[in-house]
Amino acid sequence: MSVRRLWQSTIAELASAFRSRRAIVVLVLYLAASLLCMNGAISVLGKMESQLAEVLQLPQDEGRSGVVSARLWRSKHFQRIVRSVVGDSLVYDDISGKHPVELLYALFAFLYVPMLTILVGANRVSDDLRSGAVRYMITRVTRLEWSFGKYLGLSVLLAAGLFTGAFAAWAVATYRLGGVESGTMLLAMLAWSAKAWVLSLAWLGVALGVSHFFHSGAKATALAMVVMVVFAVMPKIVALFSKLDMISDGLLVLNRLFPGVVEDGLWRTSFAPVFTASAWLVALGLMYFSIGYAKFAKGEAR
Amino acid sequence: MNDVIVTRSLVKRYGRFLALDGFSLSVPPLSVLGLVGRNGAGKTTWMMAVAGFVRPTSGEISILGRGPFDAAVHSGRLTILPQDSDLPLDGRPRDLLFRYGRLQGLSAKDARESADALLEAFNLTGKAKSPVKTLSHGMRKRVMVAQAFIGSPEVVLLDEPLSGLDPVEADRMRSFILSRRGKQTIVISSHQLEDIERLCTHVAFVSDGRLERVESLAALTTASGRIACVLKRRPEDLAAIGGILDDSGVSWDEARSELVVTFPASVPPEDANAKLLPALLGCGVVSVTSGRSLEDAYLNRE
Repeated sequence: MSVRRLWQSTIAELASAFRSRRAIVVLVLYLAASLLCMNGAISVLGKMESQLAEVLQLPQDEGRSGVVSARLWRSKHFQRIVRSVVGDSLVYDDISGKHPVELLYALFAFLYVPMLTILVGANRVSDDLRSGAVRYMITRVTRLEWSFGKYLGLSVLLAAGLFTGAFAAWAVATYRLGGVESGTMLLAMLAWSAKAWVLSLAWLGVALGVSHFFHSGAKATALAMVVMVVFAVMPKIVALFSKLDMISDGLLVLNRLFPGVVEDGLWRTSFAPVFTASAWLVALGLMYFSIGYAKFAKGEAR
Repeated sequence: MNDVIVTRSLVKRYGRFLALDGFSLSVPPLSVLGLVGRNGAGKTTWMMAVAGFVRPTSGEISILGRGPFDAAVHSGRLTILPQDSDLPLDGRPRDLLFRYGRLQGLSAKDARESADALLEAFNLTGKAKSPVKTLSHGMRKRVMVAQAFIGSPEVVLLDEPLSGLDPVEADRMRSFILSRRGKQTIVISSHQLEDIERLCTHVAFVSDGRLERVESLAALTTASGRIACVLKRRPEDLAAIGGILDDSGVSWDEARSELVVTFPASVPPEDANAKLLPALLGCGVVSVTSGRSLEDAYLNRE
């Protein structure tokens, strides 16, 4: 594989995204998702804390959301509830000092990354296979350089979308929340976006892996959606079977094949678990990508 | 010099259908070789196998003495106008040609210059920045042919380059391809035998997945002695005309007002003309054509 050709292939994918306005759509999608989720969450939070403040007779900060939540978040009772919801005490320890809105942003980012990544990536190979446009490329770069160039190009696009989303969420949070340290919040949201981007690399591998199998973008997207749902359900099934002693505990390792399970490590803040989860997610992405690519590499571009 | 494309005993099987059945063909350097054959004869499959789009079931391919097509080796040295392959619809001709040039290793400056020169040669300068989806079929076809000449590759494969072009643009295309004679090795597949006759130096007849024969155009059209004269009046004594040359045959086509005289290839055409024409002057000679057309040669017509 030549770095020069891979680079050119990546640039070609990015250029194509901008030419076709796909890039703009991605940025708008992420921006809209961040704005709506953050705005909605803060509104709900505001209503909740008004009621809570009334019940608990806590002082309110002139109608600005967040102040009561922050106090409440730090209260022992609430922390106990959070601990039981999170389940993992290590994750709880890491996130317990965070601002609730920052965590809400992380939750939304991790939730919408799989869907948006599949919408962005699942038709990228199959559409070119259907139209025959792939043939103009693979006489100039190798099939691997073409496919992997798409992976890299789309990953840059996703990064742009996620970081744009972080800025949008930060702007909403700063505007609507009281008692927020603006700089700290921005850095935190960018950090969560970076983690969401790592998660998107795994899902991008799934999306492009599926895309190599079809000559129709619509079919590839539909199947990638099905895979996404299966990947969300399978860990629960494996865990249930394990609980019922229907499978050996050793098979629980299969759960590590699903990005949604590995993603838990990204909720940590210390380097080692985040790095391990990130490396695993990237490896998963490359593995799923490689399955699709292997089919394309052996097959024909007819 | 070695042949630039060598294929030996190529077999390509799709289930029960044999698209290539031991196809062996060598393309001489700097030749313009026309592939002629009926639909399904194997012309397109041969080109796709040479370009690496389809994997032969068996047989050997060597391009420029460096084995079967591999973009890592042949990028920028072999290009193709593939059949039934759309360009990216959101792409713009200038951007696409520039991008393809960059992918095959041209510097940004060379890619830009090459793209601009080709856009001018194909009368597309006015549409250089229009999205492909807004171009007419003929314009798209010209962009598709232009991409095959970016960076002056050593070998160019053109599958039906003139189909879908209006007469003016077809003539421009013919002139362009003729201007490349002696500079690049070009293989053209076409059902338009007149185009093949005007453009090519060599012709390969293909049938049922096999090469029937390959010859220089000059050898094909002068393989047997033949003179065709369009006359104003039918000669009164056809038998007498036939007696002018030894072992000759004479036929009269009333509809075309054409007299055809065939004679052994050993008789030089200039000698045959010198003997025949004086006898025909009284019939009003409108035109004289010496030798066979490619169509006659292909259809084995005398």
